[in-house]
Amino acid sequence: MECFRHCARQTIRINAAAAVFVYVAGLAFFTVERMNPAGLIQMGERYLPLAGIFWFLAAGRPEEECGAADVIYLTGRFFLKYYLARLAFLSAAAGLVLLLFLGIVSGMSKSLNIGSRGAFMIWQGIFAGQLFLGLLTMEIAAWTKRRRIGLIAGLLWYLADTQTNGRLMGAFTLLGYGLGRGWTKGCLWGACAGLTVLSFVRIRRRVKGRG
Amino acid sequence: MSMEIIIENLVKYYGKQRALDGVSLTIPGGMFGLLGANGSGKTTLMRILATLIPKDGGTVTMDGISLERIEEIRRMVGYLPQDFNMYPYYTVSQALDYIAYLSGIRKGRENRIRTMLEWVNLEEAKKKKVRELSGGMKRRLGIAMALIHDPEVLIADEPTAGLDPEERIRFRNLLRGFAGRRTVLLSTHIAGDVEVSCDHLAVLNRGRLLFAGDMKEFIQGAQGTIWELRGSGQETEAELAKYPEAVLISQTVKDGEDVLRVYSEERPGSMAECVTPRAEDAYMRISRRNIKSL
Repeated sequence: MECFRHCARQTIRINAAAAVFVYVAGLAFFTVERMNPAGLIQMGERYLPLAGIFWFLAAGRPEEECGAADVIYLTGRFFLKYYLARLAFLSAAAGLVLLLFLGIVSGMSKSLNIGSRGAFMIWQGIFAGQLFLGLLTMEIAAWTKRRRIGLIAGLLWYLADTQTNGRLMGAFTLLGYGLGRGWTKGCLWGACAGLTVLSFVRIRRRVKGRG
Repeated sequence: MSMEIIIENLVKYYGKQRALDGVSLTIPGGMFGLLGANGSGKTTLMRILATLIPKDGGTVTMDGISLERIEEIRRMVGYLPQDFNMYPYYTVSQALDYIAYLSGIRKGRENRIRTMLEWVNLEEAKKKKVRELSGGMKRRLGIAMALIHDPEVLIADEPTAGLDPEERIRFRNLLRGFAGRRTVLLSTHIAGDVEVSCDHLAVLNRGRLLFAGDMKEFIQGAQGTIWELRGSGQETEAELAKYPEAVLISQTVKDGEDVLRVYSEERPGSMAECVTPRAEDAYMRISRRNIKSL
């Protein structure tokens, strides 16, 4: 409960507000003509991963940005667990908001019938993109110690991918289902796991006084 | 019996630059001052002692426990960094609650927080957001956070820098109050802060230890080398110009006369009168001698 309270306090603020803006803006693209499974996945894959950037942008090193890192890292091992809990909390919050958004969008159309399996596939496909783009942004911001660089890098990745219809990013495209390459979602989930490990190693080095 | 920190031949590099060059030092209990100019290695030494950065050579023990036993050491140490801050949107009590929670305090957290708030005199500000606090209040919050897990050693890096005189005095008294049977390592470049609050001190310069000992010994070392010259500005300056070895420590105006406080191994002219040294004078003397010997 304590962990939940602190995670919520630190994550659902500016990040969430900015991410929700992406969803609200995204609503404009979900027109009646696109209210079919293919339209939903195409629009979702193309626009909603942007929300991931905002969800995760500030999650990588808020302690270091505000000058609290030394005092907090000294608490040691427990902070490492807490850090992972924070990432999990953030992912869960982002996943739930996405679920809610897709629920609202599908509820707007009486003709859209995708079934629970289809709905899950659409959700996880879009969510993998969000998570990947978010974690990538967060890691770059943390390594460069500049949130702005993380943001620019995340946006560049997004633009490079969507503007070339996935040609440039290959297996790590955000548009896998829309391009008929569902297997790329596995690559995105794998990359998410890799980025999480990387981020944990980075924080661990700092916490252990080696970085 | 208070605990001792024993540092032997401590070395730290940043790239090719030696930030600490074979520092050996014993820090007894009570208030211990670490004096040195900017870039002298104070912060590096403190961050090593706080286990935030690794050392490249030498040994350090706290109460017989090696610095490598990081978790034990961290339970013993509280650290207040020079540029301390906290999440700006947290309130004072939320910040303390968070750090207490991370420090593993589960039961009795509220009581502990209340005690700390009373001790640092932040009870009335407990609902204030961190971003609304003044510099001094923020520093007091930092102290409360550093001490929430009741450590044996407090490492405070330039805690009085940038504070107004009243807040500086309050802060020094706060540290003094904590010291008792515990150890407070206070780093500063303000010699006056160390003089009024520390029994022992060390002086660092460019990563090297220039002095380690008690305050009396430190000040007595400057006995007979600190002089005051009084007169009109032109007179005193002309007199001083004859002694290029003399180092001007301060220049003030008293009763319409210029008063120059000077460090010199020999009497800098007939106008000069020998005066009782202060920590600032002793610090000037020791760093000057070091520059000469380089």
